[in-house]
Amino acid sequence: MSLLEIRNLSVAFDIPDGRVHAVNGVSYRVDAGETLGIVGESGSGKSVHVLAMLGLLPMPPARILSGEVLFEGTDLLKLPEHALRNIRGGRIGMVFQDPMSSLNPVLTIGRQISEVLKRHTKLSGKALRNRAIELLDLVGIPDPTWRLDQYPHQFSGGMRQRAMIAIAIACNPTLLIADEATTALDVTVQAQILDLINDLKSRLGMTVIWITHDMGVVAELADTIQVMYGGRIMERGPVRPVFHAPRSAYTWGLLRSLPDEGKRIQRRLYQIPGAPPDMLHPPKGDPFAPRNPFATPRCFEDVPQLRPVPGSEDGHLVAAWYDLPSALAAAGLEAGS
Amino acid sequence: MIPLLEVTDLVRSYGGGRDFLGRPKPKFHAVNGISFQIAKGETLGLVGESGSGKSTAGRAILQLERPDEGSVRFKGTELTILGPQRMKRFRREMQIIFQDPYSALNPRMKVGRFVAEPLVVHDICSGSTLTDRVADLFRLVGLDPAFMARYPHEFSGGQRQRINIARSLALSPSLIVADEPITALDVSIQAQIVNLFQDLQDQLGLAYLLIAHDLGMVRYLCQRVAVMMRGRIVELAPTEAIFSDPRHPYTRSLLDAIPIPDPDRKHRRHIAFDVAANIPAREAQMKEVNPGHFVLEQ
Repeated sequence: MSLLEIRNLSVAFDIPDGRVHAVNGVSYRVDAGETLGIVGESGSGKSVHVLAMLGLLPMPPARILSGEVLFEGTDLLKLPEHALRNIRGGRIGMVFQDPMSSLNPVLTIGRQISEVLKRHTKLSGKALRNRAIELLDLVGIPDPTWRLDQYPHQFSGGMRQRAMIAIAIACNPTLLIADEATTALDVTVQAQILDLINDLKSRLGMTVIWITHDMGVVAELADTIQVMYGGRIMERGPVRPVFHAPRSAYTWGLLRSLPDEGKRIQRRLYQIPGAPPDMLHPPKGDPFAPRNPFATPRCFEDVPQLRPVPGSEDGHLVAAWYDLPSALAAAGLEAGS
Repeated sequence: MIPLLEVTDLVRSYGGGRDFLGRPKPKFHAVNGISFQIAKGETLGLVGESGSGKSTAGRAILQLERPDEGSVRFKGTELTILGPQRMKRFRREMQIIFQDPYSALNPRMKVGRFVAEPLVVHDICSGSTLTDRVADLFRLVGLDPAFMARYPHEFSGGQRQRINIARSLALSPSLIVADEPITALDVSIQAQIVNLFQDLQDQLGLAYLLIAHDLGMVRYLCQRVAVMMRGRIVELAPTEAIFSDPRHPYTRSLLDAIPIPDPDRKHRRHIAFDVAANIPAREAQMKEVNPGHFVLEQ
């Protein structure tokens, strides 16, 4: 059985100008021990669908139009708030982009870890403090005994993000969800955090959903990649076939527009034309069709469903009416990274 | 030949002075003696992590913050001693583009007027000449001149950055300091702006000082790269030498840390360079290890 299964999730925001269709019929599964990397840009629905399933969206303006989110067999969308609160921070750990606004500035780091532990475990007193020290040590914060009594402002950006990860994993979550958790950090600090997550995965057997806009981060961390655009899944599958032989024109464009050493001689980068869709007025068919040089007339009319890619690895799915390899061949272009 | 921009031993510090009890306050040197030159039509990348001093260096060069020490020569003229009147003339030739295309625009001002503003302030043109010039600028950055009458909220992030770039080009500058110009943009839009920078350089012969933390983009845009750490330049070299033959351990740790978008090359261990334990000595000098390739002594 999958640890997490999302079925036909649709989320919208009702604003004065109309309805913003943020998530449109998203379905996927995450198996225990798997790391899923979700890639997308603003308006792709990558963050909104996760906040919706954790009950973290303000409703209104947000509305869940349809869907089920089965976590260990329970539908999270049907749970009352107090039950959901026991799962968040307990069985599901979360790390968000900005550690400064997620930490309470007037409480010590130790106190903030202890509160999570007190809420979700039976630990108290000395055992509580020892567990907090152990957690700070686990995420690579030097001198944890001393650091425990410090406040967030006494931590650097990277150290704060480590503290956030310590809080997220405090109760041995089965599932860790991180949303742009390293985006605000320097590259060297990001590299250390990614190493840390890889290390924690193998030591604790955590299942991870890592949301990012950075294809490089996904390549370093994930087993499965899911590319989202316009509130839909465009492509999904094991990282190797998706990176080396993408089937969605959006995935292909993202990979191709990245600067890398193999392409250093060319003077221009490949650019995806146009701009992300306005989800207040989403395009009728495939949301990427207006920017897709390989779009067929049908792409502008009907929404393509995710279906298995013939001849690729198990689990490689694409939502496209066009056949990317033949479209690329016809245009004399190469396929993957 | 005189370089377009020549920066020598530039220092910019904060703090200092005395507190309310008359005790001296410590000085923090954000930029601690950096030197480099930029030729006409060249792009130099100034790379570093947060706190390296790269943005402060950009502002001190443009005299938006006066440097404490050192010299900034633009087309041979020393800028650090110029008064506001003479400085205004040089401001036309040096423009800055910031990271955030949202906060740079005035939400209540039509974007056409926003782009026209420098031309009006500097009394360059008015009336229909002004409208024509602004329309030209819109076309130059790949925007439809019909958009001139619209407000910022009607544009996407990439379009807003184009509007900012159009404004920075209004006074026909010869140097643009771009401080993280693509960081805030969606990934699918970043390549568009990078290509626009290239095209404008080809057409107008602009020189850029590109301040960035993203080495990937720097590799595309820059002929030479300067790596900054704690207020000092630790390595300065032609772009390909930085990537293929980095000499300073800090440069190497930056390069190692870039996530590679290829699943077959993952699972490396990252060895971080301990910046705090390796703050360069004040008297450390740049040594030329290869022609044009300089490394700070350790």
